[in-house]
Amino acid sequence: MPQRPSLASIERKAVWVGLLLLATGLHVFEAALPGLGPWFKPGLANIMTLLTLELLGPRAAFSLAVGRVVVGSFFIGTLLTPTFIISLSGSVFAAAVMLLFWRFVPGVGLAGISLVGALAHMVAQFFVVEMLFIHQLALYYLLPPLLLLSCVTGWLNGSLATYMLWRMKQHTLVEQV
Amino acid sequence: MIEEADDIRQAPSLSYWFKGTLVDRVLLVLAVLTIIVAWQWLYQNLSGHTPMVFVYHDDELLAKYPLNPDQPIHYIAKGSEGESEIVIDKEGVRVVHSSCTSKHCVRSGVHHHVGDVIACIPNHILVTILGAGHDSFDAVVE
Repeated sequence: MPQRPSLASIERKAVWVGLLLLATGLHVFEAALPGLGPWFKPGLANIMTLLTLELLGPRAAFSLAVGRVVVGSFFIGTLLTPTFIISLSGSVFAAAVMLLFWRFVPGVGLAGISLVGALAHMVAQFFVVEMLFIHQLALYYLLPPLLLLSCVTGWLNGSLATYMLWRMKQHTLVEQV
Repeated sequence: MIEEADDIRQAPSLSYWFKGTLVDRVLLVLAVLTIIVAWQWLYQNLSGHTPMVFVYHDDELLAKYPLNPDQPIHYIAKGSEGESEIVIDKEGVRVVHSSCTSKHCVRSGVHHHVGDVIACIPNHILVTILGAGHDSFDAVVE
């Protein structure tokens, strides 16, 4: 007879699913925002990746970063389109960079992790667009102003995640997880 | 509910949440400085020449026109999914029509600064304003 999963394991999975749904909702919400063109989004969904990183660890955070792009793209109708490829590559690279900073840089907070994640996301998107869709180095002239905007949004999202984490840790369920 | 209200009162001020750790602040300063230096470097290499509009389809240079011509120029670029109509006049350069579905390129409006880029990803069309001597710059980047 297979061993039943522990209650703690089920609780962790439930929290992960909850965060994935929130991240997906924010992903869809951002897609509907009148942003600064196709290149720039505020990155609100990344707040859930940051919370997952702190609450459930790097593996859960990475799978959430991938999962929310796949599920979110399904809902907004961009699954397997160029938009999906650009979004997924940005999300995967940003998650990888955030995990590295979280693991190897002592003293870094969520604001710093979010900052490098936002920058990595933007750079990865440009790299993929240049490599796969528009083979022109001139595309990179757009990058510096967008990176400066990414600094602002990355810092704000990280600060917001820090506050949300503080609030969530006052909740009994999250403390147990 | 009363407990929740108490928690909010115990929370540090707003500035506390936005200041980050010392390492965060160092990262922010480093990132901003690096971006500004890179930006300056890019524009130093872009300026100093007569501005020209370059239209590309993937790697292929389709057309090259001076910015701000005496007479408006209408150019139709054949892309991967159809045509993009580009107009260059006294105001600058803009995409007035594109066969792509998103139309981000059309909505981005008129561009007239050196370094400005209009990209139509579905059509693989890129319009950029560069100095006339940009060829040497590309060689440096590559």
